[in-house]
Amino acid sequence: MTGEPAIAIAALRKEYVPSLTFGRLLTLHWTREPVVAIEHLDLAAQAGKITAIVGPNGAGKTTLLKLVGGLLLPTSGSLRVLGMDTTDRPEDVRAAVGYCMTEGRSFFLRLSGRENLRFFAALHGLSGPKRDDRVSGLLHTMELTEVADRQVLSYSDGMKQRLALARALLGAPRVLLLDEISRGLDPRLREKVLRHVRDLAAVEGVTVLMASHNLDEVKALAHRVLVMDQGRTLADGTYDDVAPAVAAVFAEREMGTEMGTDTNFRGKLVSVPISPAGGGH
Amino acid sequence: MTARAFAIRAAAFLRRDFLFRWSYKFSFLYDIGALFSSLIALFFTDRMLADAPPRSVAAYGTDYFTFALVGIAFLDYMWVSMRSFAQQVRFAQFTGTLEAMLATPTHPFTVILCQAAWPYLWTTIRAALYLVLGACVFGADLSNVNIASAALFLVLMVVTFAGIGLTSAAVTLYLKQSDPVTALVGGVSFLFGGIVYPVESLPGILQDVAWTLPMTHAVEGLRRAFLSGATPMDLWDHAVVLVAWAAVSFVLAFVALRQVMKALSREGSFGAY
Repeated sequence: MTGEPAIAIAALRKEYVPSLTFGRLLTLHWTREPVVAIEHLDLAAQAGKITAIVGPNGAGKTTLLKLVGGLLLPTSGSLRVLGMDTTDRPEDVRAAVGYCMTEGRSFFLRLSGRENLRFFAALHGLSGPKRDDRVSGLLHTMELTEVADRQVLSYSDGMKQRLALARALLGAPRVLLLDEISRGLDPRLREKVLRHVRDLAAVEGVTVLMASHNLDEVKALAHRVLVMDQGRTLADGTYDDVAPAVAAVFAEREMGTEMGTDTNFRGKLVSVPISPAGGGH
Repeated sequence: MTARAFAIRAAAFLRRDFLFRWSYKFSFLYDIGALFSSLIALFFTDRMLADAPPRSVAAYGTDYFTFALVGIAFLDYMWVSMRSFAQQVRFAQFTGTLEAMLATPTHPFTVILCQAAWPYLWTTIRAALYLVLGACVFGADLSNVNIASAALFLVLMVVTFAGIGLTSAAVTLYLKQSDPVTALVGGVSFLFGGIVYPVESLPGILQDVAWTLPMTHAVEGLRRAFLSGATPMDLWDHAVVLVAWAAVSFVLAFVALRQVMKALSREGSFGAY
């Protein structure tokens, strides 16, 4: 790295083209109207900093995470992670990135938590004692050791969420992508997980990009907040800088009661203290 | 990717699928039971034909049981090669695990290839059980086997049908539904490939159709390797046909998978089903 941001995005655009189906093939309906998920996004996330993406459903948050994680290709624009273009070097990007997806179904439910992590560790190229030590260490960190040998089928949502974070950390990533990280966690575990994420950034220099609906979590963690709606960037700055934009976008969508722990979030937003995560970028 | 890196991943897929299958223990017993019932059915069909064995079977210098045993033992390689890639990909789409696997640094081709590691291992165990039980319990005479020829034709058969199977996986990945062409190829191969009855038993026009199929050449090569001890040189003509099929099917699979991966990355529908 030579001063380049850990995540450098310029004029990024992503369109989803509906899949071609047998039905479309047979009825000769081959023309497909693309849906714009992200439109002209710029972002420079510095190493060791936490950037939160906030916005209502359909804002493009998860799409952005998948693009940075090398799971999707941009339609146009430039996207570099640790100096690597995600289109040219997707495997190298994925080796450097840990993606914590919310989907609890993304595990093999009839296998134990430990076996799931062993499997995904192998996909990161880990084997033998090194793999087993890494898996045991992460199970311990996520307080899953006691249930490690139980089928994931029997896990609560909170357990699956912690297992998902453990999986994202298997490859010791330098960039961590978090999608609704605290969903399903009780307050004590939520605090522990958030502290762990904060330490990863502060102590180990991991760059974190997190999508969240929970403004308490964003306020507690993020150095910088990106507000998105319908694929467009509405505001970009510290939590305080963007609070009015967040209030506006959610008021427009009438989603106030879904936000954070405070049902009167709009009043809270305009009076939040400045940068609890330790300053801007 | 190095051979070691590939082996680490293939071993992980094997372990995962073994543990998954083991969590449904009854299915193991069911598989073994089905294998026994096939052998018993062949055995009694052979007894029925004992007084007047078909000329086309006698030409192989063996009885009907041993003739059909070789066909049945290796039939599963065709099915597993053609079906397992697409089935496993479809299962991973449904369970939501495909995207999680593709989020790792492992290349998508490797993920798709390794998905079939367990089905191939289990098929190999079943084929070995067929042959061992057929010889030891039901008295099939496999003493003339030419191991080199048998191995050659097994490899050619697996590669040929894996190419078709990988192409099917690409279609399944993209269209999110089973590929009917593969089922058709499998069905035609089973009917006309000379698996449980010789190709010579078919009407003339169907014999011509049969000899265009890779399955017919694979089974003929395996059968002559097992029953007559034919050497690879004796079977070169069948081997050439299979090599041609293998080359075409693998190039097709490679192109199809490459295009589908690109399209899915553009469309963002890896996880969709």
